[in-house]
Amino acid sequence: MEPLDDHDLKPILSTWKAPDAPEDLQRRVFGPPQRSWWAWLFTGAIRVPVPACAAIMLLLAWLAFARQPAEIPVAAPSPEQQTVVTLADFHPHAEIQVKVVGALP
Amino acid sequence: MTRAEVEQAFAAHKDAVYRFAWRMAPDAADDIAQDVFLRLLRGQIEFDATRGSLRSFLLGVARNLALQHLRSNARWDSIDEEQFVASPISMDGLDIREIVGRAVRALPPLQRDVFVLAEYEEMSLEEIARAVDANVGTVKARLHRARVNLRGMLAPVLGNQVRLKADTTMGTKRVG
Repeated sequence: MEPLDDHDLKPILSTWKAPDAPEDLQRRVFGPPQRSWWAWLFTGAIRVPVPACAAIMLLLAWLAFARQPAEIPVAAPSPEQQTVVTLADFHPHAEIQVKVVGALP
Repeated sequence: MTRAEVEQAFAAHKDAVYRFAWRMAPDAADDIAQDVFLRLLRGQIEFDATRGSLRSFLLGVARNLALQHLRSNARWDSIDEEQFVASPISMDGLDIREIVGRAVRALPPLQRDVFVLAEYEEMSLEEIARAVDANVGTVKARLHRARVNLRGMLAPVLGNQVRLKADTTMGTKRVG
């Protein structure tokens, strides 16, 4: 078995280039990249079952309703406590005498 | 291997594994490359550093997966590899790269894998022997037959090599 002389074959073979690995191969092997917790606060999402979500909403609604301050009733004055003001006995002065106290410079 | 070690292996060898898979089975290259590293990550395959380099090991795994794929898709003819007769590839309207690609992919799988590993991944005979789980003599024989067959298939191109060289230096690679 004689070794083939490849000097004429090699340049032709080298024209056949294969592509590099695609970008998404890493995600396919290792899954999506892990994010820090603070990034999750801005972009994260959680799944909540509908019954749990409904229960939470009802609880929040009940808490909001229960914490409202009750109205304080304003007591109406009793008839005995009522005072009647009348000007029937009012007599204005007929003559006003002005008296200056103290000396002027 | 730890996850960090697998990530290092992935960064270093993903392109070699993908290129090899693409040359062996282009329609399944993504799946084969993914499967090689997933198996490593899940501990389904164990790398033994005393038995060769990590690169040869990963290419060997990729090779086995590619052969499995070819078998399952009935693209591995029952024809005896020894009896494979290479006929010249038609060059009508084909780019020189396409002609070479067709010729290499027309090789029987057991010739194709050793040829791709030797020619394109530049592995030594010993490394190829470990990767394909055969002895060096068998690898040499397959490699020789692969080259003889390629010469037969690429005869029209080799005949026009002077013209091809002129074309490639001018930027036109179309033959026909």
